[in-house]
Amino acid sequence: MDENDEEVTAPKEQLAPKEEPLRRSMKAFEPISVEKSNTLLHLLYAQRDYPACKALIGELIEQYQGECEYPIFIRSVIAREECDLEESMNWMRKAQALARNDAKYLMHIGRLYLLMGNHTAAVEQLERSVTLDKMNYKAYFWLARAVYHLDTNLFDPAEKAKDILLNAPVLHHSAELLIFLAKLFTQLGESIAAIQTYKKALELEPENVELMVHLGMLYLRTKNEDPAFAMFGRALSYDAAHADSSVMQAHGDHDVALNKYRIAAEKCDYNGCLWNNIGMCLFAKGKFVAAISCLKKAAFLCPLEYRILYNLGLVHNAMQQYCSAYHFLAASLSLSPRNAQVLGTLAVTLSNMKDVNNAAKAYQRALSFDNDPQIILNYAIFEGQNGNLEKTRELFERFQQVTQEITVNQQLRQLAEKVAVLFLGSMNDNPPNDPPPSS
Amino acid sequence: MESSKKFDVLFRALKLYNQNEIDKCEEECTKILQKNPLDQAAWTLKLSCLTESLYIDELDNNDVGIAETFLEQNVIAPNARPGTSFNRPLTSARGANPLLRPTTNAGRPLSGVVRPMTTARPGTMDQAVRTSRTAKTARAVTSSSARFVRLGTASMASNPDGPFVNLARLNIEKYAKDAQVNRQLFEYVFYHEGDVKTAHQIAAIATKEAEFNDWYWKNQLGKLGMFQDAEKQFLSSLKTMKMVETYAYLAKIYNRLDQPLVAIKYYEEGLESFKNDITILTGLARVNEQLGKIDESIELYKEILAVQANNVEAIACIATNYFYSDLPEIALRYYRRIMQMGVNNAELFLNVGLCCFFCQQFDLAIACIERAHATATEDIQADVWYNTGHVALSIGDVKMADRCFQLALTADQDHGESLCNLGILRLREGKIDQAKSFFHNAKGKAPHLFEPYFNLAILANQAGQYSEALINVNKSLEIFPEHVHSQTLKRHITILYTML
Amino acid sequence: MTNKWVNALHDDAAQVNTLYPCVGLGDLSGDGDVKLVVADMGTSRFNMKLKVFKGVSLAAESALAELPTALVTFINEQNTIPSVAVASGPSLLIYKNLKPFYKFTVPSTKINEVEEEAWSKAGSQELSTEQLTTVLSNLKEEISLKELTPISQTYLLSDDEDRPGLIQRFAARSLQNSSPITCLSTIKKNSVDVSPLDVLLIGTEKGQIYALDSQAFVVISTCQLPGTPVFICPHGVYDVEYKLFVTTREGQIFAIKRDVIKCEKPIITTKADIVGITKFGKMLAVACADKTLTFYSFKGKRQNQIKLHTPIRGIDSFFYAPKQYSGVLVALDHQVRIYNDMYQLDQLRVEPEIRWIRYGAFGREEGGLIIGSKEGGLIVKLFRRLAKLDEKIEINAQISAHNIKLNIPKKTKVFVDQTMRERENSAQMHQAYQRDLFMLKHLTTQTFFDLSKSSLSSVSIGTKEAVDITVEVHGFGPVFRLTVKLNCSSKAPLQDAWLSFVYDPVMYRFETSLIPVSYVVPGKFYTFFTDVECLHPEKGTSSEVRALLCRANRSTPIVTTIISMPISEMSLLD
Repeated sequence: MDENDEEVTAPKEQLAPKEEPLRRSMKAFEPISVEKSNTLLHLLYAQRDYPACKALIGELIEQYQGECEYPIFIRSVIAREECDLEESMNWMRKAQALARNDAKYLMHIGRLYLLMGNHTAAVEQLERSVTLDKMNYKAYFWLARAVYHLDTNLFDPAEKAKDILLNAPVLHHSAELLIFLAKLFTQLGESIAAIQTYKKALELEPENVELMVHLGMLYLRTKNEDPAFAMFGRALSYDAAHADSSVMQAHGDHDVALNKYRIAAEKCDYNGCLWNNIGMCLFAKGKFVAAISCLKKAAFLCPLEYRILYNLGLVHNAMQQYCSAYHFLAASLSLSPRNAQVLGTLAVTLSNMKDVNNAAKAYQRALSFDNDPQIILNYAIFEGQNGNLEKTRELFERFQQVTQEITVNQQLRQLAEKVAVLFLGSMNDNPPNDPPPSS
Repeated sequence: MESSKKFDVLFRALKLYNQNEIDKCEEECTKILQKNPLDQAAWTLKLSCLTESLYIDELDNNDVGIAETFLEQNVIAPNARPGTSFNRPLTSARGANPLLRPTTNAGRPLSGVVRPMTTARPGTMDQAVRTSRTAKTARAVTSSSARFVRLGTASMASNPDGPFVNLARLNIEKYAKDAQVNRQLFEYVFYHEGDVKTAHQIAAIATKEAEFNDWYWKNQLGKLGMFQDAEKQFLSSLKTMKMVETYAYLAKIYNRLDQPLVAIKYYEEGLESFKNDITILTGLARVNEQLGKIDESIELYKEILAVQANNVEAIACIATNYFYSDLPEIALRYYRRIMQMGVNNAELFLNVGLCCFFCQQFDLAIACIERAHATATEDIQADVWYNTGHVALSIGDVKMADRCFQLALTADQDHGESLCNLGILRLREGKIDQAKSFFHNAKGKAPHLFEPYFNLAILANQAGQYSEALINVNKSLEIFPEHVHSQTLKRHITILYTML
Repeated sequence: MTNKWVNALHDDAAQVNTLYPCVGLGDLSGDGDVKLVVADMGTSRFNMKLKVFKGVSLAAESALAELPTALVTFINEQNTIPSVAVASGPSLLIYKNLKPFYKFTVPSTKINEVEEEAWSKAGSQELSTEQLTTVLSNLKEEISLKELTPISQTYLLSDDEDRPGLIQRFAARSLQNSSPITCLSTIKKNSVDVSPLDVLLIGTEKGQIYALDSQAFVVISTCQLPGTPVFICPHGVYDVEYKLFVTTREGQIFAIKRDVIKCEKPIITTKADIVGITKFGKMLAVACADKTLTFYSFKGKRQNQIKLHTPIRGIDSFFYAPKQYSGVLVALDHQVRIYNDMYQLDQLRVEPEIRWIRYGAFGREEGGLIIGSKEGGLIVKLFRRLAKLDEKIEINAQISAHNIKLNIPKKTKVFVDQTMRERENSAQMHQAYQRDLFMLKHLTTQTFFDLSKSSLSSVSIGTKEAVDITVEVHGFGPVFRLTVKLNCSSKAPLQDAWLSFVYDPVMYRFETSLIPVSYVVPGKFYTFFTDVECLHPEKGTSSEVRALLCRANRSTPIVTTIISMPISEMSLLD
């Protein structure tokens, strides 16, 4: 098939060897194409056979005097996967030098800078890449990430990153871009947009459990409970041991929730939130002692979490261990000083210990932060028990005022009515107000 | 004793010896020898007296210096499976993982007692030199020289007119063969004079004399020799006659050779012959604990307590275990038991205080902690302040906790746990750079903790420094491979590296 | 373990160095005995051969001049034995009966005008060698070497002295820019005939997909893709309706239909490199380098994904006609598994490490699995006639909730007693507690205050100068080395400080006891050394040394650290 040129050797006259240079033998000659072995290299790389790849790349570099773009590129990628970023950068620069106008290499160099932590250089390279090739959506992704980590006061990195992503082409086809975009939306507080984005991402990757959990959390934040729990249920059906989603399933049915917690706890024994929720589940079922031990475990794992301490306070209050309750509530308060709920509960504990002055102060402080009707009612009861009926009536009126504006649990209203009858019924000159119709 | 004046002098001396009045006994013997220098019985008795004051239980003598740690010719498997070597204790066992139970410098779960050799961890030579020197609980680094110094001064002190026995001029041959004398002579030479070579000679002659049938001499040769010879000697001694101490010595050899499973085997064999023997049970319990098999260890300690109700080590270990298993009230009962036995040092008060605190007996708790502060010696100051810091955290008083941790650091600047916690507190305040530097310090001072590495990895990840994060999370996983949060973090970072 | 496969043959020393695309099965001699034909890559520069195996013994071989990249068997004439096509560079070599039959070269793509002109001018001596070199080099800088024709590439890569010769040889020829072939496949032309002819499908490095009529070797359709194809997975019949699923190196899968000339959008984008693709019923099974096997519909919608725990080496489709079993064969390092879209159906272990697998009729049997190992050995397994593939092995066994108990720490009676005690005395306990707590806080604050006054702390108290100091001691004595590390973590750099040591001069002698620290940049660690000599090592005692970081004009130091010096050894030199 191929022509075989004959070997041309030096003429046989007696010439001094240096005069007539030996003509190099021209072997069977197909023109060189530097891309010929790319297929083989790619197949070896897809199998992740790094030693074979490296050997072949070495050969090819020698054969083509270092002008083979694809092998050098693959060598750089291998170095990056082996986490040797310096090496990877060296090779990638070589590849880039061979194809100066190819945006792909600029993007990869930018990505390497990003991984190394040099965000400004990364942004520079990636912006160049994007300008050269506007349709390469991956470059937008890396650029957005690099911008996000920039430490600057000129603009809000998250905003800028978001804008970059929104300008990217074929946004809807890439799960990574969508996920990062959703994260940015969440951080910027644009929950609706974030929910939409997560939904799109889920279409692309229907089994991604983390996405489902994030989406569920967002639903909760926007007060859509049912879709939230549907999402968590879905997540659990894929990965039964996923702690985050099982944590959320405590809604309603406690036994079901406990079941799910068991699986999650099997996998990871030291998840503070998990133990907290298990504890509260048990509390709801009435098993106080078990609840306490779970909550203690949670507190041991996450000592600075005010919610766990608050829960401990609640449970001890229920068990009438007021000293401990005070201790935990005080701790919770130090960690979260403006929390009206904690203060309210603290006030209840103090009143149970008959510390009237401090209890009153606590109530007042709580109300100064938040006009929670429950706290008002408790205060009213407290004052009533101490015989300050004037104050009680004042508070009761306040309660009525507040509950006209916001929706309140039916039970709470009924309780309020009873209280009113109990304390104020004794004063005959002012008939109790009719409770407002429930909305 | 007045009545003893009527007894024969030698008998009197023997009685004094039995009553543990060593000095008086020695005086009596000296008197006898002055009258009759060739009285072998008195001579032997005096030897025993001299030895008695310096007797060290070889079973507990586990001083391993740096030279022995690094120039060991015993090859240890570098990649032992977890749970088969002291250097790789099990970390995933429930309750024994580093998150729920603190680890010591050697990377093993915190035990109830401080034992010799538990602080040695062959990391790099550099590390070993550094950590064991500046920590206040440092053990003397060099191996045998210290011991010689101790013994040397002792012998000088007790005999102002020179050594009792002039070894150089002693006719070893003759005395070694004499079964009445040779045991005491051997012990004297070994413990009092510290002359291992002569001791070896005596033992060798004696055992030959006994036609290799005497377990005692085999044991002594075992004590003197290197590991291989010792092993042979002890095994042979076992064949002759089963003794508790032989099993214990054998197991000790295997402990040193880092073959804990073989050691366990011998302990169990010993238990078959000597049920409920404290020495063996203790040894077995210790080995299990160091391997990370906490549950087995606790069972054994309970058995010990059933036999010997005032074994402090057992009580302490069981108490620690209960404390870390969320049962502080039981731990409290055990610690009170120790208190009843008369021990009242700062460590105990601190432990009692902590237990009370976690049982919510707040009134007692703080009182104990204050007592601990008052009686704390220098080397545990750091720990006392550290625990006070934790109490402060439970109260929610972050400022107080901060101060406590700083005080802990003044007491011991290598206290890795305090450094790490200070870092976390700074993070809460938003001072990320300071937090980072604390974590870096903690990394350097306490390389057995995985927390600083993990924390640094998280910080680096948030800042976008992915390569640094990856390095740190890998180190964290090296120390604690089952840590779920580290694994998740590593997965997230690796995706960025390998994404198409 | 499996009992569905029979160990038929194996030869560990077959020395076959090849990959999945270079392996084909066909009844090459027409005797009903299907043979294995392999394009062996040799050492990638020498020893390339075309080998035919009957069973595992070499039946025939023929040398190849160039490195092969792909191989298929195809039928190009009615009722004849199949021919073999081997892709090598930009050419397709056709063998019939193992003898070279025809060579087809991929049509040339567009050639750069500057280049074309340069060469023609050089051929007609209008341009000198140096000028040609310059023009081509500049062009290379602009569009990169791989876009130039092979001749230009050869020219630029050869030495100066060879270049004139090259101009002579090649300027006469017309420039060709045929891109190397990357993959091959076949598709049936029509479904009517008894033994239908095949249409050859060729993919090139520049992203072209050609359909080639196998009788006349003429290109009958072309399509351009934005990436380089790696695998072509055909579906349908050429004359009627077909879809070609093509994977590229960037992890995209395109679907090419009839009359489509250019394909821009992929139907599927994967997250990792594609290791193999095959059809499974009405779905595509795609194996990726992130250890996943994903099933997609033909429209590109994801149906199911199976996650494996070890990397995948290759896949092939599994079909056993007598029992109508179908599945996907997945080759892992030492195993071959059969999956359908939901479950794992079988698992087969082999000794050597697998490099490629191929399934099809082999020898005279229906279900032959040929496994090629990394060392070059061949293993043949046959699917048992009586085997049943109905066992479903769960892939990720879900932990059943009922078997696990929650590890809630148990509370004891003691605890309950204590709670009773608390209930009864809560007020008193509370008082005692608060009082003691106050005392403890007082103690802490007091001590801390003392500490900050004397600046004994090794962490600086003042927030303006956040410096920390650590000291290490090296050496056994009598000479030690102290290493002091300073780190400044405040925003402003530290200036004009001094590092001073306080020690007992009777015990120790310091080489330098006062070190200037002029400038400390925030965030960096600074180290300072000094040597210390113990003057009386024979005493065997030690004392404390303090290191202070202080300012000239302040009486209290910024930070302090106390070092307890270890006991010094005796000097070995005496």
